[in-house]
Amino acid sequence: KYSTMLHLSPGEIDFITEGILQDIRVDGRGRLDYRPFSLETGIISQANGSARVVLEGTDVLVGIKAELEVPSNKRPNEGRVEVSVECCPSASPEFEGRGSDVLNLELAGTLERYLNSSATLDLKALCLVPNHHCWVIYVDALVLDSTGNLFDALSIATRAALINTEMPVVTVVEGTEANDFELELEADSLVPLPLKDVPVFVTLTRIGNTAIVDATLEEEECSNGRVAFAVNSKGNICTTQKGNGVMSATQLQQMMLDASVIGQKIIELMNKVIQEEKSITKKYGFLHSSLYK
Amino acid sequence: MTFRSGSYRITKRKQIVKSTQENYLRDDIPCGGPWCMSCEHSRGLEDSDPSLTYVLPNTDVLLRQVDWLINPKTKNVIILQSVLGAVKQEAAFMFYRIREQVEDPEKYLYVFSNEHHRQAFVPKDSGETEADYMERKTRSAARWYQNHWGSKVNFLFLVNDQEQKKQALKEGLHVQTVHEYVRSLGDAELEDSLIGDDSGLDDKELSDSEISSSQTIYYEKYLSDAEIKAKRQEKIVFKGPLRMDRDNFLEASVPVDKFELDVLIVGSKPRNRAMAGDMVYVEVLPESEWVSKSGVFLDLDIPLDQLHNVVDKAEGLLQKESHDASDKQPTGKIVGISDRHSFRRYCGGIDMSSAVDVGGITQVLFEPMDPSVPKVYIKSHRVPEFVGKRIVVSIDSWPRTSKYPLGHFVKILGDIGDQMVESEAVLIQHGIAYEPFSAAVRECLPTPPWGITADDMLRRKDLRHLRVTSIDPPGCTDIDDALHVRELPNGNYEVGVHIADVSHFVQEDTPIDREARARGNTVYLVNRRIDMLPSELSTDICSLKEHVDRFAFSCIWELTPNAEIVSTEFHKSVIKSCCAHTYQQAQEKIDDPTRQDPLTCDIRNLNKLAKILRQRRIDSGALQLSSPDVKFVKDEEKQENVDVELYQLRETNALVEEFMLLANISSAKQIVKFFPAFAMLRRHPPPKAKQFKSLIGLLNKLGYQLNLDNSKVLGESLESICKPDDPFFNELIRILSTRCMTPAVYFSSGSLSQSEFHHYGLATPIYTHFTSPIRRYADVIVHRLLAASIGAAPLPVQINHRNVQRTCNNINRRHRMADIAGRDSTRLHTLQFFKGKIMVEEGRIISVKQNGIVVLVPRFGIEGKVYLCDGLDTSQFWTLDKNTQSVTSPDKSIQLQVFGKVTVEISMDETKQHSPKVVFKCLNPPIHQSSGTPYTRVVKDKKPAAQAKQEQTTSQVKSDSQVSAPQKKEGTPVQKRKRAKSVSKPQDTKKPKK
Repeated sequence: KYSTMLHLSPGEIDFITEGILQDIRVDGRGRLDYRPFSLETGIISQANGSARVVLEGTDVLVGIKAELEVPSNKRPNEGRVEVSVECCPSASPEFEGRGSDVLNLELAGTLERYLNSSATLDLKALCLVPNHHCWVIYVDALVLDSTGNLFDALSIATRAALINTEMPVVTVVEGTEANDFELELEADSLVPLPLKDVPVFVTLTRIGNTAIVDATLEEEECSNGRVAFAVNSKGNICTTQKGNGVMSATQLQQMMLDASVIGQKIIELMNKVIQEEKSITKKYGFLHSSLYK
Repeated sequence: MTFRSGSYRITKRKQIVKSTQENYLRDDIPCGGPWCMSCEHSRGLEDSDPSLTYVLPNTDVLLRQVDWLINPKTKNVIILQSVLGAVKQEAAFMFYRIREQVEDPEKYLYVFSNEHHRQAFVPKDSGETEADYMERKTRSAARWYQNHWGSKVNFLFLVNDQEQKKQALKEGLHVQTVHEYVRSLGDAELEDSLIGDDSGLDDKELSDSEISSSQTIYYEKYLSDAEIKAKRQEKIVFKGPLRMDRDNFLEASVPVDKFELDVLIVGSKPRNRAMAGDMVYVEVLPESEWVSKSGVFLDLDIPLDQLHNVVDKAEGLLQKESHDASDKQPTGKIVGISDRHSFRRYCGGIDMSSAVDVGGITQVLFEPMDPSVPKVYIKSHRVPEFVGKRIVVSIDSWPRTSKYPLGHFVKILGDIGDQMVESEAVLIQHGIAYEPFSAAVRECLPTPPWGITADDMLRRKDLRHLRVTSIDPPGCTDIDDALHVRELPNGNYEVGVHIADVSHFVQEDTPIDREARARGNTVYLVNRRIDMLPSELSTDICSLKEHVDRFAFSCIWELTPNAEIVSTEFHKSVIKSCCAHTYQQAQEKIDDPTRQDPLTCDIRNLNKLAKILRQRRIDSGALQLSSPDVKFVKDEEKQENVDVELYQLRETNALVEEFMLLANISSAKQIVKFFPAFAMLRRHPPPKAKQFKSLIGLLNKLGYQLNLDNSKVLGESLESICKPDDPFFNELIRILSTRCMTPAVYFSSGSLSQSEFHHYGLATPIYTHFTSPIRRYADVIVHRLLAASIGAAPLPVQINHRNVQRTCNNINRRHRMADIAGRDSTRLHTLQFFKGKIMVEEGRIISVKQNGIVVLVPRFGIEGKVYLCDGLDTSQFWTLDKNTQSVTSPDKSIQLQVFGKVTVEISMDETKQHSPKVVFKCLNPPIHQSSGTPYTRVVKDKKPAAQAKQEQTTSQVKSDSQVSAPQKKEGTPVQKRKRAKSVSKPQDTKKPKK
């Protein structure tokens, strides 16, 4: 549970829970309806890739920076992804000081888990010289504001930013000494990341006996369980992250099926938006150029 | 309005950086013409006058013709901001030179911010290369100027070659190549300052079809970047620095990690225009074509028309020898050049015999003083002026169709042979800054009269009551150390080393500090000293002169009578030296038993302790190496060197040295304890077996062992090498071993692990330089660190690992350059000394080849080649036995072996006016005839103290660290000057200062 500065009265909780049982949520959505979100990529000029997702009140900015480093000892012939998430105090007073540390780590850890997988990203292709030089993809996410469903918003922004990422082409030549390599930059040629199938998170929040997607802060307050499923474009579940609460196997199965369908839809939509965005030559940055539902 | 663009680049530290640029486009940027009504605040150019032409050069012009730009006659130039940026990226030093010019109001140079000008600016097209974009930007700015000024002002766009001119003409610009423009001015001096011609070809690597058939192609075309990259990945082509062979100008080598031996490059064609010090790409030939190093000497002095012959002969020789499979080594050819370090300025003279007329301009061959640099073609209208002069020439390019590189004349230094001119040439050659200190630096000096204030006394320990004395070479004015000793009631001694407190006057990051950091050290030439600090500081305010109060940094120990350290303290202090001795005076005091005054007793006590310290150091393995050190005895009136003698060492030299070493070690311990991450230390890495390989092999043949495991066993094995009938033999081996050592270097303690701090030569686990802050910048940093460690001053903000390491790299380089410059200076003076003399001396053979031997003459500390036969007639060659390193004459009557004694006649060959040289002839064994009556040298007795004045004019090149070492730099004689006959190498001690 996060962002619990809200204090709902028993009456309010009852109202929300009862409504959801009848498939009507406070903002008029059905149980499996997403809020409209806006997505924009390539807005940070210094980064290799970036994206911003505004899911109504939840506002997430992701910047991607590719740097050359030494591969880890365990995987000497692979590059890696490192994620850091920072929940700004602007999103909630609770994030003041070290208040957001635990949440930051949970979010970053979960994202890192599915990003550092060869099903998501061809990590071997990120390695230039085994044991010596590899690309490290730094994913830096900033949560500027939150009205619930951070996991999904972050994962959508991350996916969009990764697709938006352009990497300079580096060629390697052996240098004058052993284990010394010269790296040369191929002028003006940029390539996308060697992405495979990057999933997005679909979080199902259990309220009463049913589950909803894209819960608001109020709804999260009423929940008695939460599972986040990372779904890829084929609808496969890549990672799950279970929050608080208990649920039966049948319920879990149903949630999984719902997540799979919704996740696929989100990815489809995203791909469409990103494709359309490419045709827009003039970017304004930080303006919601379009809204999609 | 803003415009944004981004690009990637790779840094030296192998980081990829994306940089984004935002251009704020404005309407209010003036054109620079003071007459202009439409621009506000427009100034920078000279006021309009129909006779004036305002020129706008493009990037190529600025990069190639900087000598034209800085000529005082060149005025009214518009320099574009984007052009300036490109120059900075290409060659930072040129950028600074141009910027200096811009600041000069007399030059009327105006920098136009075209990147921010709404009309002049053009955005980059996608897919356009950086270079094309740069040209387009420049043309766009030129167009703007042309339209802005209209026909009432003479405006000219300047480009460097015809190709660019064509492009600009197409766009309707008033354009000329810089050559056309300068020729139209009709000024020979300006024309001389131009590089190359405007064909645009001299910088390009032409393919065979692009070269007209009338021209001779001397060299192979370099491979393209892509080919080199592919071949490097296949491991056929490697990258490395090119080193020239000292003995054979046709041989060079490139160290490549893959092979144990360096890759050999034989002949000038395979060397393919690479020069010493260049970073080259070398392609290794298949193993069947590998050859071995030749056993001949080849000198550059072979006349021009014979050169081909020589090359063929040399190559023929090598072919023959290549069957000798035992010492074949990787052989290769140069296929590309990564960094031209060698295209810079050189000093030398012209060879008038080579002068030819090329289209109205005289072309002549310039012969650099540095024998490893090829001759250079220069063209000038002023050639007759250069005869007999030392001139500076800059190398510009080396096309495939030219045997020698092309350069242009820069300036005349003065007459060849003039001592001051030759010294200046040495300084220029090694990039040593010798200009007087700037006004900004002088402003940092304390205002006279300088005195000690009460406030100073509060912060410092008053040690004026102590009997402090200094011992220095005669005539020393920059005294940076002094000593005191007193007996303590408990029977121990209190010994203090007091060092001039330079860091008090040189505050961090002031102009004076930056200047000292850039200079790195004081450079000592035979007849000139180039100070690191202005003389007000070095010879007065900082110098620990006698009978005056001076600031000092004191290191005070309590020592037991057995010279064990009980405690160490550091203080900022005020001292008053009671007497400044010379080494000789101090020695006389020690030796004279009738003298019992307190000061003499002090010196005797110090001497007693020093002897114990020295013995302990030697026992623990400090090395005693050697190389002959000479000084010139000068005739005061004639300003000529009348004799050369070896530097004499006294017990007192060792005394001072011993305590300086102790102070250095104590300070090193102190700063590492407090600042383990960035203490400035000095280490001497153990010698590399590779360097010693040939010497050890040779000694083994003679039945001697040389053990390198550590300095102690090396010292012992050196001790064991001696011939009872030949006392100099041991000395000779020491000289040769010294040359095989790796040099000692400064480093930041954060860059290495503790075990690597070791100083091999001194056999101490940790070492630094603390005792000569007046002449070495490293000591200044150490003083700052020490002051911070005792709380006397805050730690300067700029001291961190990165900066310390950077400073180390610079001063290591400066040190090396100062060393080479000192050596070159000695060589020049040796030359001077031999002028008009013929001397007969005993020498030692230090290397043998088929057509010659290298002889070291210990008395003068010089070495030279003795040719055993004339020319390159192989039938006259001697037989070389590589195993025993000996040569036998064709008639088997004479055999010469390495280390053998020979008697040589030394004289000077002045047949070539522009490059006189010393020639050696071998009289015994009788290989050559003596050419005249030997000059008899005046044998002088030991000089009495009264002759100190004469000694003042003697000079001796400093020795850096105990064993520090031979420079591995190829092409320059590897010769580290050490005091001969020293028990242990003196270091950090004194050198005579004028």
